[in-house]
Amino acid sequence: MAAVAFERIAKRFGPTVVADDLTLRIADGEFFVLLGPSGCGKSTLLHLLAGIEPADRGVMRIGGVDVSAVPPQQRDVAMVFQSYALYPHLDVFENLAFPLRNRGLSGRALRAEVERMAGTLGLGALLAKRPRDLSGGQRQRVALGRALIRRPAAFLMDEPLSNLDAALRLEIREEIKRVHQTHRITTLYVTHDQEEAMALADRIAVLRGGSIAQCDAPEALYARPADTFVARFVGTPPMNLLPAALLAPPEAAAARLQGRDPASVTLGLRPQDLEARDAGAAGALEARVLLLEPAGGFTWLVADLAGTRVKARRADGARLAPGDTTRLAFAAGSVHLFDAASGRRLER
Amino acid sequence: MIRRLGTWLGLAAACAWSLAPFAWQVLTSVKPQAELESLPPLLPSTITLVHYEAVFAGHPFAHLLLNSFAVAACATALALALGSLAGFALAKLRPPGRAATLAAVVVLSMLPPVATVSPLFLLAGAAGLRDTLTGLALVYAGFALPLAVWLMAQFFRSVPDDLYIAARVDGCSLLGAFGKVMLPLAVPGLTATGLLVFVFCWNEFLFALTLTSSTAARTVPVGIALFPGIHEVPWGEIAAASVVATAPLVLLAAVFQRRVLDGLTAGAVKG
Amino acid sequence: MSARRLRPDAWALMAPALLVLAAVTALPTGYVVWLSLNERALFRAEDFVGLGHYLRLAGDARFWNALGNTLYFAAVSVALELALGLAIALLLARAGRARAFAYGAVLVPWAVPTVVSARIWEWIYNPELGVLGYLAGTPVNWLGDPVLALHAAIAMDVWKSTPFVALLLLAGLQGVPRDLLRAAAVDGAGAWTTFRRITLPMLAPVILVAAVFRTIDALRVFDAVYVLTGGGPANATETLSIYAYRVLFQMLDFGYGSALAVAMLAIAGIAALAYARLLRGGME
Repeated sequence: MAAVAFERIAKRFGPTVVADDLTLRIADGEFFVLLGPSGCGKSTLLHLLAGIEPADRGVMRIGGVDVSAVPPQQRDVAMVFQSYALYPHLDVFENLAFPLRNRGLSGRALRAEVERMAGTLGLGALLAKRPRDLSGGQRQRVALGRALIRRPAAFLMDEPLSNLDAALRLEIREEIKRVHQTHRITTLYVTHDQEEAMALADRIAVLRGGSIAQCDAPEALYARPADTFVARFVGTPPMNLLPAALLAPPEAAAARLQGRDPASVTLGLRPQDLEARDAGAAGALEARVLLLEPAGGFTWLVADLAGTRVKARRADGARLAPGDTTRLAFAAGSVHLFDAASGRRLER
Repeated sequence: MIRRLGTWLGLAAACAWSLAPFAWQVLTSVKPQAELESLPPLLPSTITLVHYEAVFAGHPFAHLLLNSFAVAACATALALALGSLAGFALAKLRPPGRAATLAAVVVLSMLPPVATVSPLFLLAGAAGLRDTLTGLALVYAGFALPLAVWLMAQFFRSVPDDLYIAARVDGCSLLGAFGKVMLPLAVPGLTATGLLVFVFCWNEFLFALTLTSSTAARTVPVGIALFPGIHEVPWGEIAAASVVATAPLVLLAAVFQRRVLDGLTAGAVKG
Repeated sequence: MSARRLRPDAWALMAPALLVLAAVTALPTGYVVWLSLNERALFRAEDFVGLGHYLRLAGDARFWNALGNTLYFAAVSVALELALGLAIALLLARAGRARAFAYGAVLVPWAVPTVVSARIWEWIYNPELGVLGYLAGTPVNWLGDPVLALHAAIAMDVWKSTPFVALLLLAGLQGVPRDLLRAAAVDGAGAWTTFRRITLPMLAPVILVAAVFRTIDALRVFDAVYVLTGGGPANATETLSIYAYRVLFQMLDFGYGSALAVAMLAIAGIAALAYARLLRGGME
């Protein structure tokens, strides 16, 4: 177990900037999630740390030691992949044993280790099977076991849940969390799924174009997004962004524009915080209903608010229909303010 | 229904056209000498093996077969070893300049052999490798390498990158990952490449003709091309020798049909 | 660029292959150019003659004859191989249960060593005892007539090389998505329209690759024709490779022979560059 650090890392593939002067410090035992849109080079950061790809510039440390010149096999990290990456020519036993054999373990000691790990992950009955005979969930358990079995200094996970169907995804997600709570191995987890990130992370770094848009605890990321990119990326449905000039004076006061020019401010309102009321209610924004999306206990509605599409919530959608007029109300404390030009968060 | 019949007739014609010339040679090889000196009869009245006996008894044909086998096997082993290492590096390590390297490899594979036969003749002489199996095997390996590198790069490309990364992270050195994970997964590609290279070496004629001068290193194609005839051409013996020289390849192609097809079409279609 | 980005590990793995390639193909290619600039007959010292051999080449009727033979041989045989290959590929694609046998049968000419195939056809073409004359009903001196001989050589090459084209095109055919063909059928296209409007355009890249592959091979043809006819009668089947070989190893004129070899290199180079251009798109 060890702390992990990226210090001023730069890496580009042709025109694609993977990392541009990127610095990250991950504490010993921390579950750290790299969150970003697909194709932004998140996986490459893991490859850099694992030593598969050389960085163009910068230093990487594992346990305080500069590993930039250390070959992958000596970096003591383990990896879990979206594709599982089980060795198809080896059975489950040999897949689990592979990292141990590379360390010179053999015979009875090896067998004991493999069987113990198989027991913890419920793979005892599968040891003689080939990966192609396993289900997706079983494969990812084997992959977890193969990564865990030698107690690496750090765990690198590259979208490990993306190939699983919805039910299995939750199951393996819990398994990953359980493994982390038990072993407290420093984990670097890459995903494009913000919900997954929120559920698992101690801290999340949101990546955009090779640099960090924001790095914070999940609650802080949700409560105080640093800019409109993070605001839209974290939380489902994404946050509504509106020009502040839409607000009439009383709401403007409520939104605490505090004398700022409304034209220079973008307003952020999470759909969860925007409540659709019946027409005629006072002190709210008037909007026209476009679509209704029942969500079980309540209904999402998409509405047109002076030319901007917004999403709002309604406790009971039954009495609304597309084309109706509704009023959208929000609590003063739920408003996020961003600079309209730079997209950066304003105040506090 | 008529369409189905047309397909079958067409297929039958294609198979007949492909098989007939070689089948005729097989028939020739078992015809008694007297029946070779006139036509008809098309079919032999009795099957005789005298031509086969003559090939092996009267000529050093067995020695040539051994030479051919040794040269082809050594050249194939060498080309596979070097080609799979290079193909792996090109496909999985992605060094800068790999596109140019691959393009150069392709261009080299298109060199007409006759263009380099004179310098190789002189170089082999200078190196003392003329009329040796070693010299021939080296030349064959070199000429087969572009194909081997190209095919192996294609096959390694189809092994997921994640498996290479997993092997490295799980504690394998570069060569360890190559030997323990990549190579076992590339066995079908290795087989296909090996078959094509072996067939190339077994069939090669120009270098075998120019770089060898005696039975010591002469191979089967040269033996068949220069088949001695004092007064008249010994067609029966030539046919017998042809069948013996071809049988191993037809057998290999039949047993490893899938792999041969993979090898012939890899790169051209997928690539 | 830093050393780390150059991937020394990758180049180390490629080094042995590149060294052998350099020794056996690249180095001799340079050497042959040098040889072509020198007079180097046997038992005589080297003598630099510059472009002298190339001037001689320009006025050498036998060279132009060989070039003409080579180009004619390549053009006709490749065209026939593509047409026949496409037909066989379409048949093989519908072979159904007979597939394994049909593939095996078609592979036989490919597996027959070139020298053997020359000997097989030489026997078939035999003026008195050949089965072809027998089937024609009258003895024909196929290999003795200048016009017939070149076409006899082409027929042999077509027999030997069509399987490769057919199998390549078959792989291409199998890459045409079935949904596309179904969609065409649903849209009311007949078999011929579907073939012309969908199958053929989808197959075009593979046809191109097969054409270039075969052209390059046909341009350097040596053993097949050399063993079949020896270049005769009266040089009617003498290709560039055969002419170069004869000058080099029968007249032992390494200087002029090397100039002929360089001329072949130039022709192959043009074809190879065209090919490398075609492939570049696919590799990246």
